[in-house]
Amino acid sequence: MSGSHSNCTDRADDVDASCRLPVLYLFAGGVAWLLAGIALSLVAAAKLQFPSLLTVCEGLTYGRLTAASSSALTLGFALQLGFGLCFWLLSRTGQSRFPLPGIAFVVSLVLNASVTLGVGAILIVGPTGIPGLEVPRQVAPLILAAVGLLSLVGIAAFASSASGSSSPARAHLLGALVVLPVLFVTAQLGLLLLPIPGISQAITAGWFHQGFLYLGLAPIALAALYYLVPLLTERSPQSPALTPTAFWTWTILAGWTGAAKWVGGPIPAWWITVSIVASVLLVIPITLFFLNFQGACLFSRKVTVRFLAVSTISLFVWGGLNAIFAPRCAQSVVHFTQFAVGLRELFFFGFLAPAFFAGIYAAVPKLAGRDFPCRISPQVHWFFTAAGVALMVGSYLAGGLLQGRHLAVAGVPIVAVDHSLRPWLLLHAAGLGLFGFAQLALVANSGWLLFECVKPLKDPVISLFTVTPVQSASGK
Amino acid sequence: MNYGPLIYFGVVTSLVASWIGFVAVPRQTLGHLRADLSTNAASAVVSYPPARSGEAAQGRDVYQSLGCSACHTMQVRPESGGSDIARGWGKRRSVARDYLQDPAPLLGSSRLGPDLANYGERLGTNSFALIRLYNPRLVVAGSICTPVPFLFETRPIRGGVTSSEALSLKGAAAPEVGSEVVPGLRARQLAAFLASLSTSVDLPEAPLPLVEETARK
Repeated sequence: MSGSHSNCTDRADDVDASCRLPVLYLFAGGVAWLLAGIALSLVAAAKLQFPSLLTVCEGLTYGRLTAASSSALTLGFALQLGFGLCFWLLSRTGQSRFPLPGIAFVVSLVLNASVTLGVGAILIVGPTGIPGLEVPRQVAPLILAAVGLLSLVGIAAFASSASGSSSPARAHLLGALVVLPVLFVTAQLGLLLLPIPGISQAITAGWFHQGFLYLGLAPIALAALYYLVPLLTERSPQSPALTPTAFWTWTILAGWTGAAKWVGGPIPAWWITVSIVASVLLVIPITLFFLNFQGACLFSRKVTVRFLAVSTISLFVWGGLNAIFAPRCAQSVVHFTQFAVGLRELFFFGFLAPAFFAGIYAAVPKLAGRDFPCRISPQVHWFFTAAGVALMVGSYLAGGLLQGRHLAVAGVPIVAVDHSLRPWLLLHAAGLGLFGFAQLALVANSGWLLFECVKPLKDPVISLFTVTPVQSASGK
Repeated sequence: MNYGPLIYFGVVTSLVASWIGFVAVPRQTLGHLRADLSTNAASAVVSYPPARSGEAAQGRDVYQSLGCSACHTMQVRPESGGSDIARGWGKRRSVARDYLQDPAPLLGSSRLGPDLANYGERLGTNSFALIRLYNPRLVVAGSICTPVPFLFETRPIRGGVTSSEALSLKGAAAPEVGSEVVPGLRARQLAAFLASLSTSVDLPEAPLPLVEETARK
């Protein structure tokens, strides 16, 4: 019995060691870009309060800062951390060594370098104006190549599974790996290399942006839920039979939501109607996800599970609000307001980011071979992340509703609308600051862990490339 | 059981279906619109939308590079969808044809500032537009719009004669005695682009309200 347990542990350690280098690099890159994105967002928020701040520098206009911040967060943080988590989950769920770690590491370097070039170019030259793909067209092919290669490596990892099974987590991961390259190829060709002048680009851009968030990144976060919740709470999803329905309804519907934001806009109405219907129906898979996880997540004292609880609740609230405010009658109030930005932030910072943080807290101790040294830091990270998200999203939802009410009255000048919005913008900036502070706790703890790992090693660089099993400090 | 191939083909099929709906069909239908048809109120055939002048076309690139669409939309919603027309941001709703001259439509998704689809119609003089860019608060008190003074040059007045292009700045905004603020090339291009923004043309799919009323009578 003990021999069998030892074999299992050795195998898990071996699996973890095989993907250690690319996964840790992608995690580190993702967190660094998260901090960069938050810093850029904070400067942009300051400019809304003090418009004359930093006006001598062309690179720091509000528009460039928001575009750079958005790219840093989506392409730098979410995409890199998502790939890292995807690789670790694939290796773990497949119980097999990660194939091609060297290639994955080199391509991750290219991805990181191209995001750096892209964000720098946005600040120096300016954005493309395409949501989700603001980086200049000269840099975008590099990102496409990196995304394509990392997806291929991921698919190879899926195919090399020792278990041969297709658990819900693996199904979601495979879905993301299939979707991401197709989205980026389409965006490259349709929006940057061979664009057709006119409004069709806006529809394609909407499809790309929503697809990237809902079909590229969200399945990775959901895979983390499907893998980590049963592992950490020792409770399986409450209704496993609902899982395939949730997976397929999400996969089928999410790709059709891209035009909902063009309500009243200059595109034919049927696209908008289809997207509204798809947005409302998304509440079905979201409810199924919530039903599966809420019982296991909500009352745990483990910080990793608490992050998963924040993620689950945020997804459920987002799904409900998205369905309520998608129809035309509701859109006429919140359209073009900060309410829409708040909803996007609820999805991104409330659902995606906490699921990825949970992935970090679950994976890094296994990969590094020891637990995070500071026990309080994860609690601080969780608390300020949750508080920051609540303040950020709450202020934009409330302020956006007020802004929408004022915008609907033709007699209220736009300056007066902005004036009434300013306290909410300030609250949002405070929430963003809290969220950023929370990430500093993660960075400090990770730095301490890295120091602890490197200290006893004679050659820390070479040791990263080895796949010798390391003794995990904790269990599974 | 290994459902990998089923999941793979299911996801691909689902994605291809939405790709057809949101990429292929728009390119096939809206991509074939041409800027060569319209009749105005006097039944004269006009080309709409007109091609922008070189300076205005370059100004569009400046508008995009500064990220102005982070705060400004360029789309007028119908009366049933909001107060855009009542606010005077346009005489009719925006339609796909309005954007045929744009290499990439800058529709925007946030209204921290006003809609600019028809900004050229309410802009006034060119010098007003330039002062507005130099420092929006000189024109609209309390505006949160970011000034772009880096598009302007503050220089000594040459030969004792103020340049005809110099901004007429008064009070605290005025430059030092003996200096003047003149717009750079990109400021002029941006002002030309803003002045070119107008969609008040009667179209079959989006008639102007006045024309519609006359037709009813």
